[in-house]
Amino acid sequence: MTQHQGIDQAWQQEWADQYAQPLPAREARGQTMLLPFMLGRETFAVATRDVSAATEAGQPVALPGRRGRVVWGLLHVESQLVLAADLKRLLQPAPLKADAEIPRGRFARVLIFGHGLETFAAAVDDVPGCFRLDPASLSPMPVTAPAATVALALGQLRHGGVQMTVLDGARLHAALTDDLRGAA
Amino acid sequence: MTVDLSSFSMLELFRMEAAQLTGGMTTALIDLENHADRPAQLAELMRCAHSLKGAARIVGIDALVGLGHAMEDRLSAAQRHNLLAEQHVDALLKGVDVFASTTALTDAAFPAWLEAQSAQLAELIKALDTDFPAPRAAPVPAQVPALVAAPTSAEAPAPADTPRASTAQQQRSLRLDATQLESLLSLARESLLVNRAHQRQADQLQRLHSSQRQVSRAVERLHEALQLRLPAEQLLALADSVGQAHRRSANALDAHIHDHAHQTRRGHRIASRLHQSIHSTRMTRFGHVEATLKRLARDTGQLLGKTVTLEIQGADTRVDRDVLDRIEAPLMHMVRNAMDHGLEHTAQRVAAGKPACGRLVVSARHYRGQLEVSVGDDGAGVDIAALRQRIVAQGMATAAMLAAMSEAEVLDFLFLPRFTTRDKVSETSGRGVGLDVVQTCVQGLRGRLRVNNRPGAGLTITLVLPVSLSLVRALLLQVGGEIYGLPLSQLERVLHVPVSSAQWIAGQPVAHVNGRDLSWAPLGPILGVAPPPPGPLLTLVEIATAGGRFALAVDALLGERDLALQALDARLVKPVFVAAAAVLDDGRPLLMLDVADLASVVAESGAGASQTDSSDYAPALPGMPLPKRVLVVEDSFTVREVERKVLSAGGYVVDVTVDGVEGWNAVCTRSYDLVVTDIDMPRMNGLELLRRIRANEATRHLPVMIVSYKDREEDRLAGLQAGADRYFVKSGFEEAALLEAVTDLIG
Repeated sequence: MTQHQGIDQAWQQEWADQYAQPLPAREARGQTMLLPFMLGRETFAVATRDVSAATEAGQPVALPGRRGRVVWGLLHVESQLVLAADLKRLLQPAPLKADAEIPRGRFARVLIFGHGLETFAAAVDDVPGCFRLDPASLSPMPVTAPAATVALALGQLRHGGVQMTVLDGARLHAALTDDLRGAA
Repeated sequence: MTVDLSSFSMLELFRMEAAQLTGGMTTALIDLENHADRPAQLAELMRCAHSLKGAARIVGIDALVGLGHAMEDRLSAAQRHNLLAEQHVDALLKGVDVFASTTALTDAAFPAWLEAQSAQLAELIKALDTDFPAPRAAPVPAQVPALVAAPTSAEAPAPADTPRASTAQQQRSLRLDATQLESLLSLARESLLVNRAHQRQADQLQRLHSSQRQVSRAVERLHEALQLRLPAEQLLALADSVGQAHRRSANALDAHIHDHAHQTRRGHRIASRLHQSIHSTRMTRFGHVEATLKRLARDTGQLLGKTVTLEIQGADTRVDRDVLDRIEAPLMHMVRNAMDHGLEHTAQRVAAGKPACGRLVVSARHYRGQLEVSVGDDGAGVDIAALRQRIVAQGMATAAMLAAMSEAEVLDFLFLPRFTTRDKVSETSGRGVGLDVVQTCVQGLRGRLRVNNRPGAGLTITLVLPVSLSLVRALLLQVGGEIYGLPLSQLERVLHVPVSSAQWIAGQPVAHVNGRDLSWAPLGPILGVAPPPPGPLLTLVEIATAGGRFALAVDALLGERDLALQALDARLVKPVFVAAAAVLDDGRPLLMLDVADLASVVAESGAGASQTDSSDYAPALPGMPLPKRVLVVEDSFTVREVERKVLSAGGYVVDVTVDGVEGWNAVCTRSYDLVVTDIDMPRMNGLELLRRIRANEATRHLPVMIVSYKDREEDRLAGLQAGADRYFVKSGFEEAALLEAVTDLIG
């Protein structure tokens, strides 16, 4: 991925419009707890209220006709069969170059996004813990970030020396639902 | 789980049904008010009104039968004219309010309530019967004044404008008798004891671990003594202590293994009993529907002036409560239909040499792992010639089409929506609402219908259904490293055939087995998984369906298993090739394959073969070009079959799906040269399907032809604006014209 990507004028305006919007009330008041998770070499975070569980990784089964899609299979999580989503396909994080690069102490987990009957399960490479969002620390996404990620992000922040993308849980859920419904 | 209805009075049942139906009707009416052109909602409202009327008739509330009839008439008129006046929506909502208000009444309060409402009911029926000229043109807030006072008790129904979940989504409950509950509690207690025993075993393992450490220390001491070359007596003493420590440890281990094996067996036994007990709470006697059906037969007999006896056979047959709950309304339709259309009047029966009293038999039995429920009568049966004339008269097929159909195909028209053999509408029939409910229900339960027509001697309709919706005996298959299940009840047998013996007929692989050819297709490519290179023997699983037999080639068979089925996420609607899911012992999910989906792909069109890299199986396959592939999306069985036959005869490979959702699944999973779709279909209509096809990069340029009954210019324009390449009107349906239109589009 090049660091010298040209910025389309319309795209730039879109970002300006997006970041001109106020943060949701809870995020703006600093009342939101964030759950960071790792995908490949990147770290993302969502509000803990958008995640109903973090469990041990299981083995999903692919649904015929959904291979190659973001929502692609079923995963058994505590007696329930939950729709399995591939967040790497959606967020396109930088992949690890080789197994040797996997940091020690990482534990793959499955995060259950959403609540009740509207959940999605997604495998992540690690869940290091959670922390309180400082709204002042949130900054716009870099221009080099993939458009798909930008569309789902509230912004970026640095916590504990780690740069991470903070995702909007509602937009993430909507994107997964759109994929499930077959939207282009 | 469903409500056990056995202990309820008829009025209680009526109130429950009214509560169940009215919430959905109110929501549907309000939706309809805002979006007038929704035939599916009108049809659903018709069914609800029909059910309310039927329920009122069963409990003998004539005033409500009249109201239900008037509501049904109005909705029927709305279906015909595709419009509903504002005053009619108001009146229908008031009618729904009347039915809803009965849910708060006690049995004793019913007569007084009816008397108090009589004048208002008459006024309401009059309003429903009146033709108002102006259709509702714009959305109007649904503020409907209540005809009757709102119920005041805690059992009051939801307010008319409160959206409620559909029947299927409403929370369901199950009544258990005290004995069943006690048995479950007892098993749960025992399960707790086993759990505690496992805790004790964990403690024993800790002690065993300590004992092992003692052995290790004794061995270390012996080792040191040997290095120090201590005297033989001391070495022997040390060796003795090692031996003793080892024996203690070994004894403890033996005891632990014995105890563990015992507790494991006990735990397994309890878990099995617990599972069986819970599963048995889902089962009930088929005889639970006896009272309802006998009462229905009696009341309908009185209404029609026919004498009849209804006999229940196999009343003790165990039936899943969910299955029984879902077939109850279809059974009622079948009984009503048999009495109205099948059984003759007394004079006719006597003249025909039959007993004066008609006989209806409703039977249930388990047969070949399935539940068979039949409704048979000793009436006149179906006059096939008259039925053919009726079909033509209703414009559902041309005489030429019918001439090419078998008797069984002609009888299938009885199960089509809006088909009726009556000219006049009565309280029991004539609207075409009835047997299509049976068809829809059976398809929803993954079952099938069988009709045995005996002209002059009667008609028997048999529903072949799964015994249980929750537990299925399945064969586990391995394909491309993944495991799938197939219900044993739908499997014929397993075959191992040398690959070298596979032959190819019209591009379809065929195995010659026991003197006959069996079409087969590799399952892996159909499901989108890559199978390993085939060995010298093909493993084929032969499947029998109503449409014939076919086989699927799989990588390996992993044995039989009882699988507790779990419903799939409702957001998936209906994933292609998947009927349900289950969980294996190791926690992995497993997909139960949908035989009907596979049959439509493999047996009819040979799609499985053409999608496959067939050279894997037949290196000598001739390199002939594949024919063009057409997807027909059509909910009408008849139109679908006619289109399939016409297009197949024209040299196209045709796949069929029954609604937009299945059509979309098919488009997403395989490549087509053309989609031929109807507009009005359940779940997803043709225009929505078309929009999705046009919005998807991969299918944006796929030619789509709409074939619809809608012949108005605005319908045609709507179809073309949505992106259709051609709009074909069914009323002008001619085989040659259809073929010509398809050839124009795709050659």
